[in-house]
Amino acid sequence: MTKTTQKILLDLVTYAFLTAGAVMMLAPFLWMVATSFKIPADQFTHTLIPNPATLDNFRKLFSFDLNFPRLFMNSAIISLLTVIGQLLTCAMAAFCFAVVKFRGRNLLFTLLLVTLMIPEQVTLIPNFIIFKWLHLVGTSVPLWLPAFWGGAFGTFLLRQYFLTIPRELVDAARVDGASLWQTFWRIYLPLGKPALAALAIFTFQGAWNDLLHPLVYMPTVPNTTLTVGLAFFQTQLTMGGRFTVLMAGALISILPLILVFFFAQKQFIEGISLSGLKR
Amino acid sequence: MKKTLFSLAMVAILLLSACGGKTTGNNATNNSPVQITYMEWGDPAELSVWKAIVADFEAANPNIKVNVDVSDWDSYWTKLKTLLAANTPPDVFAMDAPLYLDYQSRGVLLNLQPYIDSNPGMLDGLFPNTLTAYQTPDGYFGLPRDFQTIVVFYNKDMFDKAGVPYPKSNWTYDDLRATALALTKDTSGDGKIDQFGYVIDPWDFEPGMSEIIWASGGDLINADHTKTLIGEPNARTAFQFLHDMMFVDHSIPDPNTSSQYGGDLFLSGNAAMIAMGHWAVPSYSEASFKWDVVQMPSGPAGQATSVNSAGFVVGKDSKNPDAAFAFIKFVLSTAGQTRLAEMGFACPVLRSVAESDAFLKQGTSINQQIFIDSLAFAHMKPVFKGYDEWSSTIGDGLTPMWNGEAELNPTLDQIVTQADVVLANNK
Repeated sequence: MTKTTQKILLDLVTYAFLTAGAVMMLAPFLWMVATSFKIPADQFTHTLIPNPATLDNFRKLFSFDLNFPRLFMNSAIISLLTVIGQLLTCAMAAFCFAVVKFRGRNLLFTLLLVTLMIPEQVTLIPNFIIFKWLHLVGTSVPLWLPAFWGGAFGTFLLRQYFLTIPRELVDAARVDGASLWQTFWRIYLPLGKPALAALAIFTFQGAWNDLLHPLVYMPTVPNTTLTVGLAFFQTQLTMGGRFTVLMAGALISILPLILVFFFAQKQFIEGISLSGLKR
Repeated sequence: MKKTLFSLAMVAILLLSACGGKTTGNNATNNSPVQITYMEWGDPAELSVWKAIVADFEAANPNIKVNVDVSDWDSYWTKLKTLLAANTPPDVFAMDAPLYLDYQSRGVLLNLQPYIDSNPGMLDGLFPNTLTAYQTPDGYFGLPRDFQTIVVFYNKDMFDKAGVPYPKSNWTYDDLRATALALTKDTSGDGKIDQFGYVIDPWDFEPGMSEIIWASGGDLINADHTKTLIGEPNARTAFQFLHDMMFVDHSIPDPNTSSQYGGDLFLSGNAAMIAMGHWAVPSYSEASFKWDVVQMPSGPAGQATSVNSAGFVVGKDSKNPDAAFAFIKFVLSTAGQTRLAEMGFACPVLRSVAESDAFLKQGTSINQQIFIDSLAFAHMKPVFKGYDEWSSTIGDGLTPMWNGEAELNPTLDQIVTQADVVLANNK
């Protein structure tokens, strides 16, 4: 067996696995898209082409006494503020942990990582009491404000990425008279784009899909987020066997996620092509 | 570094000032009417009815404003537990009778007895069976809002097509079995049954299981809630009966089969009969076939059904208990109960409204009287501390048996042991 045939075989196996994985991931998604265009009688047929296809599910969805644009805006604002908060504070913290040398740095970093172990459910009630005390319950502030406190996951992710950026760049910047802030803002942030984009996706997805926190902190429909609004209909639709409408709602609710993903994906590629350093 | 700190400080100041703004905003509302929150589970249609009730109430009580907060069933309990844990309960909130003592025994509910005492005659018009669930030795910590009796819904078109006579009010479980068998069919001719005679909820006792156990002379639990009785001979006969319908006649679909139809087989037109409560009426009204309801059949020990009620409770830490009780009192009045009856999800607890056209003639052509008449032979859905844990222990325990993976008798033996441990732990 020559090297090339070996390589082709290996590629074949790799792609077979990747294709199988992709099909597994895509199938539920395609089923959702297909079902959202089917008529209720066809909702459990095993076909991916809706026949007859209909827009009735979307019409039904928008006919509900539910202000979709408002739910959408609420979700979007909360998610965007969360992303901004996380990117800003996590990047600053990560920069300090990766570049700035100070006493107790490793201890602090370990402590930060330990907080990853604390499940969210444990902090829900103490946080709620704090926000109650601040008179912020019933507003959307408790949903995005904590993102500005930084976060262990984002800080860890970005620090690891920042460590891969050559130290020489810091030294060169210092020679040119750049302050620490300038080093962060003009060198690390632009070079960290791929990691920042990844964190942006994770954060946006987490905030967009969050059901528990909006449920607890915000008033009920109509002034709530898309997830709470859809959950409100879920019982009615599944009890009534209207999966087609439910899938239409699910499809609409994930569209922004897809947009964010494609936007951030561009940053991945750009980031990689920019970070080259001539040695 | 200094600049970083400076920007952080700026952010912090900005945020704090934002909070400050909110605080003053809240304080400024001191002169406006008393605000109370009413929280309940429900769906969008219920929310609009409650908004109508609140509008009526606010018109009669201009100094009270009610915020209605409705979530779906699962979210409701999550939210409620968080609010209670944070010591900020809603003023009035909905309660499912079986869970009532769980909350009452944890001391989070306000004793309504003093308010009831100062409103003599307030409870006189209510159906007594619906009140029982909320009585404690210390008085009422909650009041029923509406009730649910379980009846059999049947698809008239399917009966007509098969030439099977409609069920009669005095039918027996043997009639049910024969009728169900006659309506179980493979309509598409692919060798698989796609039309079932009867559907029960295999996970929850309320629609389908508890009724046949009582009608067979058995019971679910003893009077002081220390022993699970579903393993006693009469209850076992009842389980065997349903088991035979599922695995011998195949007239009840097993859970795997049901799930292929995505939930409600009756509504999708794949089942002729289903044991259900009044909550299903609004969604069944959208069905493309004609249907009606009939009482649960009778067994060796006579006719039996289950009655359960949703009720109101007031948070112990409510800042406005007077306003909260005024709201409850209004919903229990003729005006409030009439609105609730029109909503069509449940039966009014006020007898005069339940027997009026507001309830009996609500748009649907079905015989609403059946739900009221069923009260005569209704057993109360058990109410005790630990009900939630106990019933899920049994529901989970039964699953392998309904899935056809475990034998009936050993399963029941095992469940009774586990359920009794739950009862002992909740004493």
